[in-house]
Amino acid sequence: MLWEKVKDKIVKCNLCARRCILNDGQVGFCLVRKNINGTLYSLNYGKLIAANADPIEKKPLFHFLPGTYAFSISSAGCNFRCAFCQNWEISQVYREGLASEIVGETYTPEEVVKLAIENECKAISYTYTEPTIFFEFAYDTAKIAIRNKLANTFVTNGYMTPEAVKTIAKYLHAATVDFKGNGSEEFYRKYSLVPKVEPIFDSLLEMKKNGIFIEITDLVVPKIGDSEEDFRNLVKWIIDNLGSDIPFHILRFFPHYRLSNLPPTPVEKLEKLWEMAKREGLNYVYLGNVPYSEKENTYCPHCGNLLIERRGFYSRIVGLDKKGRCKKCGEKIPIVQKIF
Amino acid sequence: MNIKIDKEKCIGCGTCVALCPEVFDIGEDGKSYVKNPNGKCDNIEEVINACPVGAISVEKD
Repeated sequence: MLWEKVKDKIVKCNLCARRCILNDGQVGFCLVRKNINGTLYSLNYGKLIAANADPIEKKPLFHFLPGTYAFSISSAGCNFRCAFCQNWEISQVYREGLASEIVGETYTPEEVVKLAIENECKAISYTYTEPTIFFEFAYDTAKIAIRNKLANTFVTNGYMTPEAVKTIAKYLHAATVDFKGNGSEEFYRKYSLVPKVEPIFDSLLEMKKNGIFIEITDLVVPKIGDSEEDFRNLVKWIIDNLGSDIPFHILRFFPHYRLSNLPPTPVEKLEKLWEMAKREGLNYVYLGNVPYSEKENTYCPHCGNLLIERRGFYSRIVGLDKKGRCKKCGEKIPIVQKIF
Repeated sequence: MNIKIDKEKCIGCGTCVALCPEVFDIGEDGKSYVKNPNGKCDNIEEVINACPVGAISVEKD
C-alpha cells in the first residue's frame, strides 16, 4: 500500500515521511519494505514479535476507554533510529545485525482479533515499534477488529505521510503521538536521524481532521532534549492547533541503548515542565514513568475533583459519571468511555 | 573535502540531511545532493557510516 512507480522499476514509498526512492532490489530506511522487480513489498507482514494484552493506560491513553485492556501487537523494525530507544532490540534488530532475516511469529489478522477477544480486550493497539512499518498488517487487522466491536489505536512517532493517516483513518479510533526531546528539530536530527519535524505536526493535523482521538507524549531527555523554550513552543502549538483538552504526557527518560551514559530525567525538571504546561493552558497534563505520582490522576479542570485515580497501570474511575461529566460540578470531561 | 553521493544507491531517506543539514539536502529528484561541501559538519565519518545504503564517500584532497 501507499507506493508509486517512478519510472521503469523504480518505486517511491509514500508510507512514512522519508518517502524513500528504491531501485529494484533495494530496501527502505526501515529495512522492512523492499522493491522486488518494480513492486514494493512489506517483508514483515504478519510477523509479530509481541502480541499481548496491556492496560490501555500503558500506551499511554488516559482519556480513551479508561480501565480497559488493549491487545498490543508489533513487528520488528522502525523508520527512526533513536539513540535512546527503550525497545531497540526489536526496533533496530535489522540495523544492529541482530537478525539476518525477518523475525517474528506468523499471525493472521483473524488470529489477532480472536486473541484480543479471548483476552477480553476492548481495543487493539499497534505499538512498541512504529506501526507505520507494519501498516498493511495493521490495516487488515483493524478492519476485522471493527467488525468485532474492537477499537483500534496507534502508538506512533507521527512521522507518516498525510496519505497514510487518511488511509488508516477509517479504521483508527485513537492515536498516541510520541514527541522526543521536546520536539526540537536539532534533537530529532542528531538523536533519531530524522531530517525534519514538520511531518509530525502535519500528521497531527490530518488526524484531527479525520476525527481520530489524540493523546500526545513528550520524552524529556536530560541535558540534550530538555529545553524549556522548545517545550513551551510544543505546548503552544498543541493548544493553538489541537486545543487545550488534548491529554499531554510528559515522560521521564531512562538510560537505554546508545544514551546509556545519561542520567534519568530529574523528577524536579518534569514537575517544572508540568507546571509550565498547565500555566500555558493545557487542561490535562500527566507525568509518565514516575510511579505513584499524583500527577497520573485526572482532575476536573473546573473544580479540581478527582475523576480518575491511577497507580502504575491500575486505574479507577471515581469522580466521573457514565455520561463523562464531573460528579461534583457537572463539567463535561473529554473522555471516551464507549466506542461501540 | 570532496564529498560524493552515489545517486544510484541513494534512497533519499534524509539521514545525511539530519546529521549535517548544512552540507546535504534532498533535491527535486527526491535524492540527496551536496549543497555546500564546506558547510559545518562535525563528523563526516558518522554520516558515511549512518547512510543505510553506503552511498556517501569522501575523497581526500
